[in-house]
Amino acid sequence: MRFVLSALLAALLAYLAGQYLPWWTIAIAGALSALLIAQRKIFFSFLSAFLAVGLLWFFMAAYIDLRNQHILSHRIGRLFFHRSDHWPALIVTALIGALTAGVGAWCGGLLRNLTSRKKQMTFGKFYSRRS
Amino acid sequence: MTRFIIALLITISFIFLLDHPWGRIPPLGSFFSPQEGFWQNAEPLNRKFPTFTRLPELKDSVEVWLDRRWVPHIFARNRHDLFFMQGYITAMFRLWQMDIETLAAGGQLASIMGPDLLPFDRLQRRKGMVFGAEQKLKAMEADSVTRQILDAYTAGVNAYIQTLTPRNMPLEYKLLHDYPRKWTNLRSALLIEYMADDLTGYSDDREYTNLRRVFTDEQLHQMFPDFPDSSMPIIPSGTAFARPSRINPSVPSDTARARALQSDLTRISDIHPASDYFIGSNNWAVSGDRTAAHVPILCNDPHLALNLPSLWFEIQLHAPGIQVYGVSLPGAPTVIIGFNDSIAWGVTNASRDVKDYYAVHFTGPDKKTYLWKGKKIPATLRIETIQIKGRPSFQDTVAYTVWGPVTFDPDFPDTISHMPYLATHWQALQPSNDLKTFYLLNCAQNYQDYVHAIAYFNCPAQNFVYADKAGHIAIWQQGWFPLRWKDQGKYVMPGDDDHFQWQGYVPVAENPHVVDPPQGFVFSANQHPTDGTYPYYYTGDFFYYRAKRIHDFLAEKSQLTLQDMMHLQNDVFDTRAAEALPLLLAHLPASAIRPSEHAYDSLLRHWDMRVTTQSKAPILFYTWMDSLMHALWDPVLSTAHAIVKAPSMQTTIEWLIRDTSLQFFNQFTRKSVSLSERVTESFHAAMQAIQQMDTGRGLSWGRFRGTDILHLTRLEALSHTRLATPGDGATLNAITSNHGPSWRMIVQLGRQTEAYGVYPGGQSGNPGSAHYDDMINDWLLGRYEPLRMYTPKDRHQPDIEAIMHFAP
Repeated sequence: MRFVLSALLAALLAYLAGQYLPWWTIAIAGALSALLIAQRKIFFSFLSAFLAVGLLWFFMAAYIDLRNQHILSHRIGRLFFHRSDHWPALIVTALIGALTAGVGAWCGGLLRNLTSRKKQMTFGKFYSRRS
Repeated sequence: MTRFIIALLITISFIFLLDHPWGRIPPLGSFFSPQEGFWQNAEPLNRKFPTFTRLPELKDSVEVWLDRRWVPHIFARNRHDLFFMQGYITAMFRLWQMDIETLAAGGQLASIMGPDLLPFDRLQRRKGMVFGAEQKLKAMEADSVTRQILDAYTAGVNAYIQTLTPRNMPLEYKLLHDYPRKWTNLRSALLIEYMADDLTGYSDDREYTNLRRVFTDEQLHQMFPDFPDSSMPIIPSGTAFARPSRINPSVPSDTARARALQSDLTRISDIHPASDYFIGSNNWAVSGDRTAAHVPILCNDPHLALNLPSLWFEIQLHAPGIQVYGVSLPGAPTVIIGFNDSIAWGVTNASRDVKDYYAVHFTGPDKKTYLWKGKKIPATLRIETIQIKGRPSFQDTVAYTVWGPVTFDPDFPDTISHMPYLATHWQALQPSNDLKTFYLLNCAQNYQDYVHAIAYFNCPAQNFVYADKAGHIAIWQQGWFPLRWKDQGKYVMPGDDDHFQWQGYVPVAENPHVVDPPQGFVFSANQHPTDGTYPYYYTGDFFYYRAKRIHDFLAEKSQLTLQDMMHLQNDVFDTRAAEALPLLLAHLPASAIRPSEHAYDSLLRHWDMRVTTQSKAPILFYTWMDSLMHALWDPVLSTAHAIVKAPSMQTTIEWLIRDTSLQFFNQFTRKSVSLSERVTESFHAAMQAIQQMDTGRGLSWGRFRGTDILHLTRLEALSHTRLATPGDGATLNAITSNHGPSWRMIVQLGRQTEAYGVYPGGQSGNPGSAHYDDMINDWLLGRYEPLRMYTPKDRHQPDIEAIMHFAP
């Protein structure tokens, strides 16, 4: 549940950031989603942002591509990948979005651990002292 | 903590990696972002245009209608708003193209493409491109009308640039990691200068100078005749010319000095082949007596370099006093080729020589003073600063003399003539208001208006064909042409002697022209403007075969229809082959043909002289002709031990008809060879070369030659390459590997004007638009689109896809 929640948050923030700010702010969107919603493991923070923003970018691009009937994606495919095909451009788009948000979330998760581990430790000490 | 810092560093480096351009790769992060990068240029097929836009610079409200092909029809209430909107709308569809073409014209490409382009930029500056544009601008801004038009156009382009953000910028800026620059009147002038260079910048004076070292004037006149045996001049032969008001200047007494100029050359031999004529064009107008509809028809197809986005942009301009439809050049206001309610006009290149070189004698390497009429006089030094992407800028000092810029000097040596200092004297560097011609033509109502309009036209000289609804047809060769003595301008001249100057100009009223000739049609195809009886001497680079074909077709048929005109523009009958092949075959003895060559021989003998995409015979013919040209001319020309130019195919063919014993050629070979032997051996050589290519997959002209329509970046992914195309440089449908009919237009001037046109591209310059290249296929197949000039009443026409309102 928390996984889906943080993914939704990452996608929403990444969409808004991308609309008004430079593209790389999707990394901050990923970081925020990991900071605000904790996961059992850092890897899951990474994965939720990775999947969320990867899919977000994929579907945004695919929507544009369908309405354009692949005219430009085929040209970009030929330019960068020597293939007159829309899939390479779509996959690279999704991967760039996914990785950027993913590494952002990784940082966010670690930052959360840094701050919250202190909390846990104090709590632990207090708890152990009681026992 | 350390883990966090490591993660942070990795994240930052990852972003850094994707946010920076690497060599020719754009910043990948922003480029692939669907909200920022190229995806934003992938237009939905049913793109919507804003219905209302506020533009404070406008004086009144303006409407722009886009039709099915996105041709804008601009309805303005005054001249300022009309040209403001032409700038705005042209930028909307073609901004990057305008930007890059003017950067190329002014030698500023290295600033965005890097140091590889530095030599190109230097040559542009040294030819005087920026200087020339400044001269033209001076003349255009001295006239209140053209100044207003230019100012309005510039303001319109800049108003559009203001609306751009990094997200909605043209794709090419994103690819090159570049940003649009502000538009100025000078940039419009640079675009006009660019066309002048394209059409008059070619010069073979230096190659010819090399030839003069070893050949006598008589030999050279045979090799490069002023008037060939066959010609089909624009002004019908036999037309009487008025007595000239000026006399041809006499030849300076010591032209031998021009020969003495040549220093000892490095002994190399490089023969430039006779060029396949490509910067040509056709136009013609037929009077109502010869058409089925009994009204004049005018046709034009300028042959230029084919690129994407296309050189031309179709547009209709409508305001009080002006109502015109046609093609414009993105970057310059007005319609260049088109029609209005009363007249139609078109252009072809006059191809007369208006560019000469002079050898300047500087008194020192600092280029500060030079010799002129026995005295030392100072040169003006112009410092050209060339920005280079990723490097410190480069400064080039160009000396300006009485002749013009010193293009070649020891800092930028001429590798053809090896003369130390060569100045360019070129009509394109003179002040002139060519824009006024187009504005006045856009508004012209009758023949007088047309003559008045073209009188402003200076360079690049054009053949302006004309037809009107009153039933008149006419053609004028218009431009400013120097008065020349015989052979002046063919070779490099001494730069210290005023006898070698141009001796004034041919009076404009005495330029070759003809109105309503008895033959019922006028035409031009870069051929000689006149026969030898024209009172003024001229030289140039003329082409005969297309003119011959147009003449024969139009003279033979009456009751001409629009369909006939479409067929004629797409005609692929090769007159050059038709005149040369019978001669070659007559000298090829049947006994000499090898068994393996029988099939080829039979193909040639049964060829109908048409160059279709499927034809095989033109491959055989041109390979044979090429091999024969080399066999004949290489021994002759290699005696020059320098870079020289070969005589044309026409000269060669006519020569062989006159001199079947090859007397001239045999002077230069060790043993005498007969024409029959030359023809036979070149046939064997050519057929052997063809057998190697003919690997059973079927040889066809379309695939053998092929045509590339390259995007201006030369990126193949944005281009159309290896198109199978018909025609060659000598057919009316004059398609070559990268040149061809850049706009085909046919206008029938009846009560209701009926017009058709097509060009190999599309209205949008965006490679992500369906309108980027949507006319290429029609163009290939010889199909046309109807050209519709609307009035404000037509707003409900089904063809109109979008209506945009603009108001202050």
